[in-house]
Amino acid sequence: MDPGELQQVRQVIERSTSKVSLRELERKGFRKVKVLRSNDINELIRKAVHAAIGRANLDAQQHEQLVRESQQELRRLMKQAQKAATERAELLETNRALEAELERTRAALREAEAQIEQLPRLRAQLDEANVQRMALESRTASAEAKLGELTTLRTELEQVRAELKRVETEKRLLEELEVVKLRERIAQLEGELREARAAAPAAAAAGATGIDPATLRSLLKEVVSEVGAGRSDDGLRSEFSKLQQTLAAALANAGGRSGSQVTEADLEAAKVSIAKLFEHDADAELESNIAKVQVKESTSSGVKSTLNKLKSLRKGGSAE
Amino acid sequence: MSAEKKRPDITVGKASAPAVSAPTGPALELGKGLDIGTANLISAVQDREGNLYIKAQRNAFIDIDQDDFTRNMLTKLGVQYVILNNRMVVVGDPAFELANIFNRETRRPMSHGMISPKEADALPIMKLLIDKLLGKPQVKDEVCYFSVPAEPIDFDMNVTYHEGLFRDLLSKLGYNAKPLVEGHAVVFAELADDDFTGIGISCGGGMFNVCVSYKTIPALSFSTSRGGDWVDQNVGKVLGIKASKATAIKEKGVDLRKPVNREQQAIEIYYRELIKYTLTNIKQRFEQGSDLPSFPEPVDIVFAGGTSLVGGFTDVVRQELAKLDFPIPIKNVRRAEDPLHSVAKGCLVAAMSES
Ligand SMILES: Nc1ncnc2c1ncn2[C@@H]1O[C@H](COP(=O)(O)OP(=O)(O)OP(=O)(O)O)[C@@H](O)[C@H]1O
Ligand SMILES: [Mg+2]
Repeated sequence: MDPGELQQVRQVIERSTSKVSLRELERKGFRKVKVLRSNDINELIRKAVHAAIGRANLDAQQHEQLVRESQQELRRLMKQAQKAATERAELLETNRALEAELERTRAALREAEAQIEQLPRLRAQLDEANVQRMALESRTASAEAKLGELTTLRTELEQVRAELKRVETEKRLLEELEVVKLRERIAQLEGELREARAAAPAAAAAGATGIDPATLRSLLKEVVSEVGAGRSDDGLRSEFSKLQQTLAAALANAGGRSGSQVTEADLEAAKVSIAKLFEHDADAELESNIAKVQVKESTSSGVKSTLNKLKSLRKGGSAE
Repeated sequence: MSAEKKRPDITVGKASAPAVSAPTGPALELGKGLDIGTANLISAVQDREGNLYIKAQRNAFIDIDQDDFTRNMLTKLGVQYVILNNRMVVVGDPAFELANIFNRETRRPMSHGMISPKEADALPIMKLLIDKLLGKPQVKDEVCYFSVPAEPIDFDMNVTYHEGLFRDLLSKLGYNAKPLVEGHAVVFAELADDDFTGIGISCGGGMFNVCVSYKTIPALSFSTSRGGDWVDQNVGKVLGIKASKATAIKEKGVDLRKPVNREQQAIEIYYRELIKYTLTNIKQRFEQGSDLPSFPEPVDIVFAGGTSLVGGFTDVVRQELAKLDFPIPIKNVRRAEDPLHSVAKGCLVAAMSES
């Protein structure tokens, strides 16, 4: 057998056997293995062939022929075996690849199935979130609208309340002042009446009152209108100082005491309510740096043309 | 010049004639204008060259503890103060800053365009401020027109008392003081090109003042008690912040056409309400009134006052006007060139026309 053939035998063996690691074998329970070298196999084949030929009683030529033919046949068979082995190896390879592919697909499938199982739950969560969002949105919108309404209403209410309070206070103050003025004037008139009576004892003795109610009323009326119209500072001030007295008297009366017992405290209390009205005159001794500090000043084009138009319009006709 | 010497004699019962000041600075025309506003006190004078001089004081204050250090510090910083009832009262713009720092409200001498009964304390302070703004009269009884609110329609308040008080205060400073309703002042300042015919509206802090004028004559004038303060108070309430804080947000600059956050949205809502309220009231008053002129030609409606400064103001007016069947035909809706100073200018025009 020539070395080429030997090589081929080796390849056939190579392809038609599988390699198994010793550890693998051990795991499978094989403790001892028989080892067959490819050379020994070749030798076995060679011996078998020659034995067969020897038994056939052939002459040298026939022997030669037979050897050649069988060598050819062997080569053909070997080639065939080699081809089959290659195909088988390829098939095995494809098979392995397919199996791996299958396994991967199965894994993917399992994963997909797992995900599909989750789907309804996720869907439900999403729906729930959507519902909540919508509810929240509508609540926010209506709350905002309400808030707007409410604030306007509240403001208006507060304004009305404040106005009411202010009007009431003003009314009370006016009434107070009016009453006080009238009382004061009545007291004055009563005083005058007393004086008149004292000065004219004869008339008093004759039972005349001196002033009839109608005259008293018209006098009162006059005084009230005088007080109302008295806008001159002097007039007002003296009116008010009189008012202060009577207000104090009124306070004393209100305290359950007689009008003749006006105390210092009454006078003080009366001052408080009236003083406010004249506070603007009380600034004689204010300390300030206002005179020293520069105020914001700006300049711009004047009002000359406006002024001219106004003047010409006043003279008559249009400014144009 | 010390505050003492500058102050006129105010002893009761003695008609005082303060000394006439020696003219300093540029030579001025005779006649002065003074806008006495809820938020701002503003004076206007003009020199012989035709330049206008405007001075402004914020009509607000806040009281703080006083000591020598603070006193010196404030003067160095150019912050005005007054000592009142042993408290240190910081006056003007810085009061707002301090209020925001201390998270307190400023105190306001006036509310709704009139001297506030709650803050009677403040009159001496206002007197100092006005004295500082106007200076001495150039001649005895120089004419000074000062703004007053027109009769309020939604607020029961006596304008006469308020007017008398300031007339008194100004005459004690040596002026021949004359009142001018605020809307009319806007007409004088802004409607010259239309023969003073049209609608002037002053959008102030405490109120809105409306004047419908025909050839300089007010045909209809009234005020409402809603203004910038109303916006601030409501915004403050909705957002749960102090009104002073709301003022600061508003004045920092808001565009009503595109509010960018909750604060600005709140401001937009109340502004729109305010504008609607004003226009509706004009409509109602005009339709109810008798003897009112009819306007054959469309007229301008012009807005002045700090509250009209907000971005997109006239746009919102146009939008709301379109929703109403407005009885007066309107040509242009516009804002005064210098909204904060319009009323003072109008008062100046009135004063100079009589000088
Ligand atoms: N940039 C701004 N944007 C919006 N509002 C502003 C701005 N600047 C000032 N204001 C507001 O303008 C108002 C003050 O305006 P103005 O000075 O015309 O009022 P006033 O004349 O003092 O008040 P009134 O006329 O009601 O007595 C305040 O409410 C202030 O917050
Ligand atoms: Mg104003």
